[in-house]
Amino acid sequence: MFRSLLKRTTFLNQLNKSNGFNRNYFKQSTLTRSDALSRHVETEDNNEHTPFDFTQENLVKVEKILAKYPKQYRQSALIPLLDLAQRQNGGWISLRAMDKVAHICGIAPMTAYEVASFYTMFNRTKIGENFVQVCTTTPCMLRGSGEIIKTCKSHLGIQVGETTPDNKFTLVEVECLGACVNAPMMCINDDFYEDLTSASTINLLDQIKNNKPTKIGPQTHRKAAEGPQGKTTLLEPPVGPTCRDDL
Amino acid sequence: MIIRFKINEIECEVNEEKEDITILQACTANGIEIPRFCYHEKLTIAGNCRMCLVYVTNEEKLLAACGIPLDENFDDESIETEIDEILKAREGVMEFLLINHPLDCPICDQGGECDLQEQTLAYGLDTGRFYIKKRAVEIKTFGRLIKGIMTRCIHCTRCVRFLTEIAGVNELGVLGRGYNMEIGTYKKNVMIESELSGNIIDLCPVGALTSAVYAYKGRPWELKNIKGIDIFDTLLTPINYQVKGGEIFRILPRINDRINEEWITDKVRFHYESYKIIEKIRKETPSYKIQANKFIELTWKTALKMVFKVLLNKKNKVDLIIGSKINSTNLRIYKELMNRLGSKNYITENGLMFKKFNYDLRENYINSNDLYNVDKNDLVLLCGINLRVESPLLNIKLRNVNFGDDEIESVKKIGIIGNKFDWKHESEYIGATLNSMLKLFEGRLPYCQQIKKSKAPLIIVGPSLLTRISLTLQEMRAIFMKACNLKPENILIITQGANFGMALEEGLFKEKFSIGGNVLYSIDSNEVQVTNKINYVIYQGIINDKFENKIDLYLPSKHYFEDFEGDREVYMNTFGQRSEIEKLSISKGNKIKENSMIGYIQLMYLNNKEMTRKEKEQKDIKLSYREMKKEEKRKIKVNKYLTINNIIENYYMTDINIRLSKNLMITGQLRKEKKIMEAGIWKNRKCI
Repeated sequence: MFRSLLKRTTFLNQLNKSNGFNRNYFKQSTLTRSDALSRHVETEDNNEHTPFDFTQENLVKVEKILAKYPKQYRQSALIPLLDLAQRQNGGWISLRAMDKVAHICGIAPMTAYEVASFYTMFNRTKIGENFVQVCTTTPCMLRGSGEIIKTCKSHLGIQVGETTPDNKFTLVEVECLGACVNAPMMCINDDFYEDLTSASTINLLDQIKNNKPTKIGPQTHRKAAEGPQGKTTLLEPPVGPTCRDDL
Repeated sequence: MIIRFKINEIECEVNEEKEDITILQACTANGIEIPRFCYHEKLTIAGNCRMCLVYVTNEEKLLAACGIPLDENFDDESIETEIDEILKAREGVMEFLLINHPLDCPICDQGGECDLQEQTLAYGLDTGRFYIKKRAVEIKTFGRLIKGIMTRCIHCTRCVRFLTEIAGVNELGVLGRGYNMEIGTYKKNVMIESELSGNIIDLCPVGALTSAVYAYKGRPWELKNIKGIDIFDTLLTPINYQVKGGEIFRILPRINDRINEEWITDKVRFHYESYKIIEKIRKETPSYKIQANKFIELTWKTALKMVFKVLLNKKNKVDLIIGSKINSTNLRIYKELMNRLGSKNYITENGLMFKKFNYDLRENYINSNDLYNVDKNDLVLLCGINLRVESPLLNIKLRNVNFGDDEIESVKKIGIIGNKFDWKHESEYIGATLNSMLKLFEGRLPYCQQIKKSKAPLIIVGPSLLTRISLTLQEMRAIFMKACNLKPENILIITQGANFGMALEEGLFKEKFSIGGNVLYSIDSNEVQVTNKINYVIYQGIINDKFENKIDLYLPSKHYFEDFEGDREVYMNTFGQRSEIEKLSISKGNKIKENSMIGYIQLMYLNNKEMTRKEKEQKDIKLSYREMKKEEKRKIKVNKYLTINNIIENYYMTDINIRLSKNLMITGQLRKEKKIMEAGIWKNRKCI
């Protein structure tokens, strides 16, 4: 069957050429990875029977999060709870975890699925221990994020959207993570690594692979987002409010 | 404040305090059509298709007419819907919608009644400019009834809104974002567990959701509309049979804001499959059983002679049971027939179940409340009724009742006595037995205080209770009024069977009726238990699946929609509203006769006179006022610990026409296996 299709394709291509058309009638769509699919993919480690429940520690956190909202609007806690479930579950959120969160919020599971599939920061398929997100939005791209992606691919031996066989790394491309001053950058789990080069990327990935401590932030001598002249303004220590402490 | 504005140079006025309308509604009221996809009158406003853009002076951008309310900002403004800017904007929107829409109209079931097709013709560009690849979405299955070809979807979210807001099942959702957005159930092969799921087929503006039963069968322009009613319900929802060449192709709702708004149940939408099967397997001539499973064919003359031989034999005691679809003319004829034979053993199939009814006053069996105002009540008490199964359309009306924002208070405002069921609303469960009902009558229940507090309570008395308690509605009303300070219009009675009200109107009801004779004459009634006492069964009807092997004499008769003289017949529902049906003939056998015809022949045989109602008989059935008073004072004697179980076990098994429809049957079985009906869907799902 495939052969006959191929024959037809070549025949049509010839036909098009002879007519002077330059249109491609048979095009294959790009392969979509399961993490980008907007539906549930039944796998061994993510199905109807995969158990999930919050740990005792996290249940205390759940109560804390729920207490922030009025009782009749407890569905507002959906996103923080999904995040909590994802953290507990090793960086991804299973079907049962979404059901559990929906149950706590008193809403239909469908709403939880909708929210989890809308936000790209929720992973609905299993990922590796370290979630490598390389930013490829314009500023990072101009500063050489293509090189960083290439390095990651060749060093880890995987394509974008894949997980290494030892389950250590999952590589994805993401949109702007808000550290454009220090482009190019990538985010591994919750930490930003900025001012990357190929060499520093390889170094970083090796350090993480061997469970060695890493330097968070710029990988050069630069401190935070300072310019070449160092700090010229805002010299006094920052006053609050600082980042939320509940996460 | 009165807002004065112009739409396309037409001067309009809107009183802001009285009316709360949007630009789109104002335009429609003034006869200006605005194209739309996501907007629907009965659903909330989503505003995501952008097809209804209009130009308003002093506004920087074009506005989506469906979502902008007319307020004081619109005073002295003018709205334009036909200027070039708007036409261009519509072209743009159409172009975007068509980027990923497949060009498969010739094989699409929506072709001919597709909003996208029509609006592309009217407002779209005549050429396409996109040569990039189209997006494809996998085909989704939502059970046996609905086919989902989701590549055609334009993401108007009407189906999602209908299921969440009106049907109350949150099964469909908007998944993903941007280019990857899909409408779906997230998990694979999830059935939409609603009795009203078929309505999303009508709502879908494109061919994404189509009827699986009607697939590739017909085209809308070749079908003819014939008025009908939903005979599986006491509301008698108006429907349209869509017919071609003596065959029903599909069933669609007829819009009636007083009864069904725009919805019909799945039962009636898909039951037409059975008519084709019935045509194939039914007997077309009168026949008589000589041995088990062996019938000989008779002529009508001999068949009727045999009927009379049985009916006129004085040793025989004949019970006449009439099916639930028979119209009032026939009820009258057969009652007259039995009266002339000197017997009063006649009853309708549904009347057989109910303990007691008082039919001397109309208010005792016809509800005086208006279905339209049902959602204006602030407290609902359900006594022995599973609303989801017994009256799904009333259920969706009640789901819209505003019980207040307070979660704990609002739960208290819905009480259930009888079997637990999930009617998609949090509610307070009072009790399962008759005991709690009696307590309520005596005012000893804490819930009585709730009822007294509320301004407009509504107590719905259902068939499960009426079959178990021998109180007339009048008595019940009197007791309720005493216990909880109620008015007559606060009680709503839901019975079973399409002709129940009409049968009472004709006086076809008897207290404590049980089949006691040795001859059973069943007119299109299948739901009768044939005991061993009965030694002769005459079945006059279409097809029987319950006591088929016990029938001795079979008389073929026509369907209820063929069974009247003239073009139309009127049925009356439980609210006293009348629905008209038109004649539709699908029976092909020429020996099949109307019930009315058979009845007239029998009457002619007895007495060659035209049929009239006897006045004497009317006197018989009327109780005197004194007797009525006495009845009120009568003490109630019941088994207190009797549980009020639902009388309908399976929603998809209640009628012969449903039992013979393949797809409905399979849906019913699938749901029964999952035990979804009682347990609800997501509330009771175990979270490990």
